[in-house]
Amino acid sequence: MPREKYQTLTEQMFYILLCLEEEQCGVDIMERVAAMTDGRVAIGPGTLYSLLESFQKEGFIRETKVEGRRKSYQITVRGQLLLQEEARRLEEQLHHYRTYGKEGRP
Amino acid sequence: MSAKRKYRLETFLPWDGAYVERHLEKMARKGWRLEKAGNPFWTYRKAEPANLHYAMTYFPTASVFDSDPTEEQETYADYCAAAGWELVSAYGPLQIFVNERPHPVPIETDEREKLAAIHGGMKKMLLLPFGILLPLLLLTLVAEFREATRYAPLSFVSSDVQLGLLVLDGGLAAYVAWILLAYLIWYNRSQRAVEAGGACRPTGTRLRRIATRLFLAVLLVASAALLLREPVMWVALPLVLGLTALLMAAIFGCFWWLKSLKLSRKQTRAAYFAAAVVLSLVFRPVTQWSANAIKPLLPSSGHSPVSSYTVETKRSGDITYDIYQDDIPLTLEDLGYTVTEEDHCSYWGKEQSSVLALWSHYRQDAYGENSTLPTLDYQTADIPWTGLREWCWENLSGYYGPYGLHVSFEETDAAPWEADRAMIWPDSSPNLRYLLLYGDRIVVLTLGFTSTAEQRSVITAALRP
Repeated sequence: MPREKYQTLTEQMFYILLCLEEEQCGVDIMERVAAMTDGRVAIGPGTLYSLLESFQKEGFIRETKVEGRRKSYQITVRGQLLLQEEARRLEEQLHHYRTYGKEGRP
Repeated sequence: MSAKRKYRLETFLPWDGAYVERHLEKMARKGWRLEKAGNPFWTYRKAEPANLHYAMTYFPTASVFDSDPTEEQETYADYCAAAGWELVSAYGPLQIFVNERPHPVPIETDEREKLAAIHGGMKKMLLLPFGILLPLLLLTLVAEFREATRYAPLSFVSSDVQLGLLVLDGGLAAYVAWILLAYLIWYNRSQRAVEAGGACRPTGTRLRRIATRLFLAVLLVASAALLLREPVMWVALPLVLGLTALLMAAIFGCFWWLKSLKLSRKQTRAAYFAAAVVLSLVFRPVTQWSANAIKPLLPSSGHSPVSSYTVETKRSGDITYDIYQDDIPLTLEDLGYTVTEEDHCSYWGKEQSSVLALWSHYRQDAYGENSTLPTLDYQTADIPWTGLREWCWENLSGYYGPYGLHVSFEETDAAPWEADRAMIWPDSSPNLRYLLLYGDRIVVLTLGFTSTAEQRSVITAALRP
């Protein structure tokens, strides 16, 4: 089940992992993702909390610092691989679009 | 001065967050803001009317036995606060947040995570309690039916109290089963929709909500109406409800007191269940005492013995019999027997009626030590509804006795009884037991003698409708 869940990352999963290429406090991720995507991708706090929890459980991220209730996280090697795999899949998709699609070629 | 607080009994499907959110937003626009989401009363305080956004979410690992929010729950609340969502109230896994921003980002933006959180909350708040309640209600129903079918179908169908309890139990079981089924269907459909990249399915429609409330209202009114047809229940029902409310208040009081002690979740839970068991045990003598205390208040049935007769026996010592002088439609005298004072005869009769049937039971007993009078015992039941009459006949005519053996009456010639149908108990000496059917009326007759044609016509004249 967990593998199936992460076979294709949702946009929210993708951006959370991308954010955590640098150590980041969990609560700041929402703002950072909004800034990265010009507000196009919004992550709800409940979703962020549960995704961070499951990413940590699966070993895609690790806890790096705890200051009171403020916890910071960073992506792990396993998480990097997952993110790279997703990026490769997206590139392939884009490549297919440009190769076979009728519109949108540069 | 207008009230500053309002308490409302909030009923909703616990997975129907959208409905609760709309309701709270409407209340806020009317100037009532949620202060506490309790169980089952919610507290609102008066405030300036405002356009607020509410969100109902579940934090599955939280428990109603937590004295304070867990650290994880507080972290979750911190994340929500960063997005403008302030925690208003929490009850176990259920949490209500409010946001004053005009267009806030929803707390859940991923449908899969949202569904997982709801399902986690439902396991604790719905599937576990209702999963325990449903078998208990079904067991009660089965026990009631067993009692009725094996021992006393006529007494059962002619008792409004028993029918009222059956309607209540059956209705509640149907309601609980319906809620469980509705959730499981919703969860299953939502799961499929989310797997396909869609959103959780919409929850109940307005029509369904109204229908559910209407069903509960009809159920309560119908069972109360049935129960209150019995005059005794005018005193007994308020007493039972009052005592139940007292017990519930004691259990809830204990629950909140234990939570205020700030014990661990496990300790609070163990202490709560222990206290609930102790309180329930204490409640039993209280109920008994109250039942005795109200006995003088109960309306008299007008059925009481006129005297008593004591017989000295070598084995059991003195035995005292109540002597009744009820007016009964058929006596041994009518059948040609001579009854003297030495027979110490008791004429006993009881009538009971419900919306479905009228049942009468009569007997004449001779307690005199040297009396040679035979037994006379008969019941008549008028049951207009054919299906129910047939059900009663079936259950009277045969049942599973000890060791699972099926014992039953056997068909016999109905002509001598001028009946539509007649059955006789195969091995009933010294008493002969008959089941007779006259139109809507069932007659159960026990005779301590073999009847003559003349006696049969007297019996028929007295007992047929």
